[in-house]
Amino acid sequence: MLLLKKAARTVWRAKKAYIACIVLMSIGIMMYFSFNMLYLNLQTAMEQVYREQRFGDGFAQVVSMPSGQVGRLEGIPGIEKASGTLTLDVRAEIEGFTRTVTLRLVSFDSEEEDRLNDVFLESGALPGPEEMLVNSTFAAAHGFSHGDQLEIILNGQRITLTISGTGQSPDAILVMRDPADLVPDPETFGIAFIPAGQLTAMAGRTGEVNALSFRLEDGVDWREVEHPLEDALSAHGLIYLIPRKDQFSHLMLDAEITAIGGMANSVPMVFILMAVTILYIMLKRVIEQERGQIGILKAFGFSDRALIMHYLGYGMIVGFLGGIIGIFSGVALSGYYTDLIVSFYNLPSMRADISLQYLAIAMAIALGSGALGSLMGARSMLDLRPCEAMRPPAPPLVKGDLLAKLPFLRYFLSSYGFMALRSISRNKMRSAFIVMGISFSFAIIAFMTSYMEMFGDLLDARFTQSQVFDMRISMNTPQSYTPLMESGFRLEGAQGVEAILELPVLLSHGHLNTGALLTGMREDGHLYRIYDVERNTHLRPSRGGVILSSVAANELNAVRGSVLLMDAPSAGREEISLPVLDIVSENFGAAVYIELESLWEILDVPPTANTLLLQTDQAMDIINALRYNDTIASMTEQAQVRQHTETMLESNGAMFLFMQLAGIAIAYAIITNTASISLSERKREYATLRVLGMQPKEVCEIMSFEYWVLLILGMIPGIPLVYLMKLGLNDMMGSADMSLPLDTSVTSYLTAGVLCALAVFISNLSARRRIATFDMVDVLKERE
Amino acid sequence: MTEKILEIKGLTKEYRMGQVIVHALRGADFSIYEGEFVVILGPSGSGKSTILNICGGIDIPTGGQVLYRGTDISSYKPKQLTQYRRTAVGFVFQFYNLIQNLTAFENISLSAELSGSPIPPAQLLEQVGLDGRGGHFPSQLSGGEQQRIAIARAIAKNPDLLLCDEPTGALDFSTGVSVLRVLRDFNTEYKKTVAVITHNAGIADMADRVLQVRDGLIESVTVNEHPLPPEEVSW
Repeated sequence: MLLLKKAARTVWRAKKAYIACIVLMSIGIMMYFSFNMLYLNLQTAMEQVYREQRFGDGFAQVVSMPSGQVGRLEGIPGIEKASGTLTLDVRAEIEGFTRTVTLRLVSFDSEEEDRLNDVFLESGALPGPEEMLVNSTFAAAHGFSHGDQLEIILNGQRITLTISGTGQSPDAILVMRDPADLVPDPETFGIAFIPAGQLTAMAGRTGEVNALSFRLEDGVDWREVEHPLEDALSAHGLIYLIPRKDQFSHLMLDAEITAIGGMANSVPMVFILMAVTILYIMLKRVIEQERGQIGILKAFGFSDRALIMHYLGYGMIVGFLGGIIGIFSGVALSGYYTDLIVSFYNLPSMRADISLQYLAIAMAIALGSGALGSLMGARSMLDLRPCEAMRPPAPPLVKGDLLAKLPFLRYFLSSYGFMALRSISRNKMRSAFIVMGISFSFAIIAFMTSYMEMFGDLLDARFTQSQVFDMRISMNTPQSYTPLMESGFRLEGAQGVEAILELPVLLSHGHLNTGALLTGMREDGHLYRIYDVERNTHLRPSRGGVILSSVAANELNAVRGSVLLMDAPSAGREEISLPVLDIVSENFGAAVYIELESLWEILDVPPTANTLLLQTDQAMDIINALRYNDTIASMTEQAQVRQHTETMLESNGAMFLFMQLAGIAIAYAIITNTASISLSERKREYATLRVLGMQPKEVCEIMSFEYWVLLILGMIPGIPLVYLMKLGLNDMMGSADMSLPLDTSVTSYLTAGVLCALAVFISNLSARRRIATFDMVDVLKERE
Repeated sequence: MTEKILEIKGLTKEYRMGQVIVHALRGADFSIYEGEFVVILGPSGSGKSTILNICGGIDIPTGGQVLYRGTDISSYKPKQLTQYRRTAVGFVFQFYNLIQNLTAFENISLSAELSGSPIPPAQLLEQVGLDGRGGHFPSQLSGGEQQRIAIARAIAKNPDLLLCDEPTGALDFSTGVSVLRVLRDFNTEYKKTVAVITHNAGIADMADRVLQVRDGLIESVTVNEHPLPPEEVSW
């Protein structure tokens, strides 16, 4: 009990150092607990939705297929179940909402047993005549409730439908119109589930389906059914055929889960490791300071076990408080992240549930880390015999001299410099730890700053370098090129018009293949340009080959000069050989660009285009004028897309800021704690210098010099560490067709350097105050 | 009589130790003269170290005056006291207080760097008989060697006054004598004032004057007409 009191008083006396240690421990535990809970809850929610709503193992899009023939696909060996729906993108009218809204109408048959990608009724009732379910994020974005009505434009007719409830299907957990969009926009795009008979009748496509999904028999690989399916579906205008892993919603969700899982077990460990090391250094110092006391306690008869338990208590206090604070804040952080996830993904079963298993693991890590740090620091006490402990320690052995090894330093350094460098070389472990801590801190801050900048750069690249049009009008089907262009020029307010042809294609290179968006564009076009983010230059499509995006090139392992095979099922063409003329560095999506006339030639189609790009300052007037044009699938105003994207990305800003602050916390905790210990160890030396006639500022310069040197030494490995962190993140994000830039701006490094330097500066100020208030008489009368 | 380098008038010092106020000095009056070798002698707790600390500007008195060449340093601000220590006094401690991360030579150079008119460190190293040991770190030197380096370091600034607090307290007899020889040489060769504080009455025999301290007061001042060379003192 008395020893416990002693421990509590010792901790209280050095409370700032212990608080810093507890802060690092709690940040680590908070991240570990929240990320793991998020990972578990997201994984569980995904698996639950997939299992209960029978998510397909493969997917296909065709132009049209009689619904009666879908069942025949089950005759293909390996296919256990096939389901079909009719899926149509239409425009919707929402009163008071000026942007164009696209609804993806999806048919479903609530009577069909064992239906794949089943619709889950989240709220309200299943739709009756002239009713539909909409996805919850779309409903929430517009404040819709059951019974509200909205108007859709289908085949040139305005049809009013009533919302009977909200629903969700496993193939649309992430609801995005276009994989090329950076973020979901529930205000302008939603999913509507309508009873099959009703939708096909409304669309005039009774008995038709165009979207198929398949469940494979147990143990069957997708590659075994791929070709038979292609053969069976080619007659129906196969547009694409993909396994589950390439299904867009799953691809993004799976990448998100992988990234969270990766972060959960790496980033927190940095903070916990830092806390353990600080604890180790502090306990080592406590043992040195309490050497005499340890001797006396041992002489009194306290056992080694009792004493080690006593010193273990120091770490357990840090572990316990860090664990409790970390877990409580982890619960709050997990709630915040869950809200963020739910704003992106339609996962009604996603909850911020607290996992008792992870709670126990987090607490065990906190207590174990605390115990480990103190045990490592205090173990030297076990070797002390009482008589030896009551004597001052023998002076340390001098092992080599840094300045003897590097004699040229003598020409640059004063005595202060010698002292600082020798202190670094003689406290190798501690110096290495400070360097490591500064490296991590520098890398985390630079990494986060770089990514905050990167989002700005990505938006700039897309909206000011590549897609510089003001408005995009997507047609339902390809239109004749010249009439389409003429209609564009006729639009009031259109200052510039270009037309492009966009098609989903399948690219193959050797045994590798990937789905990609093929864009046919004019060589002299200026509204949509191919922009290379690394080379900061624009590339022109030319005849005789394609320009491949870096994401697609990575997936296909293709380089300039490679020859790809392209299937364009929507155009009815297969295995077209295309040489790669150039690789364009882009960050998102697998894309391939080709000169428009060249595309018409290789597809052997007349001049056509399916997207009109406009330069205009009257986008809203044009949208209003074309509101009821049934050949148009969607109209988007680029300024609004950019604004929405920025708003969505800003929601991540808080997390980046938090991570930056955590990086600063590492730097500050390490530097101030080690400086404080160093000051305590060397106060006799500093007092002597004060007696010799040095001002506190001069004495502090010795320590400052040491920390500035360590700061520079720490920042050097920090630079490749940033690169490695980015490589790691890209590895985690790679499956989601993303390739984030690996380069880091000078501004990011400067920001990290300045923030780390600020920690050194603040620590130096504090040291200077302490040096100025040293009682020289007290310090110097102590025996060495 | 030569000029007074230090004049102490009515010096008092009170410490608070917990709930108790300790009167370390109760009104000490004395002077130290230019170029003399003075020993301040007294038992433990008599206040002699407090006198040295105040004279050296590392402690401040509760009352009284400390006149250095006629200027009262007792009212100096910390920055002025630092300047005083830098230019006027050199300290030698019982436990040497060498900088562990500097070699013997560098310890002396460090002090020399602070002065506008230093004594060359190499010369001092030779004078204290350690010219072959300049590259050694303190932990590689014996106690006597460390104390000689500490004296050389204190002298390197070329101070007016050398204040030594029990300089032989941690040394054996013969090593102690060699240290006293260095102090005496500095006193005679450079004509500098040396004040040695000790409880060792044997050392008093080599002093020009002996100030006896008891209970925070100067009990007596004895002029030693025939100071002994360090080699002839004994304890």
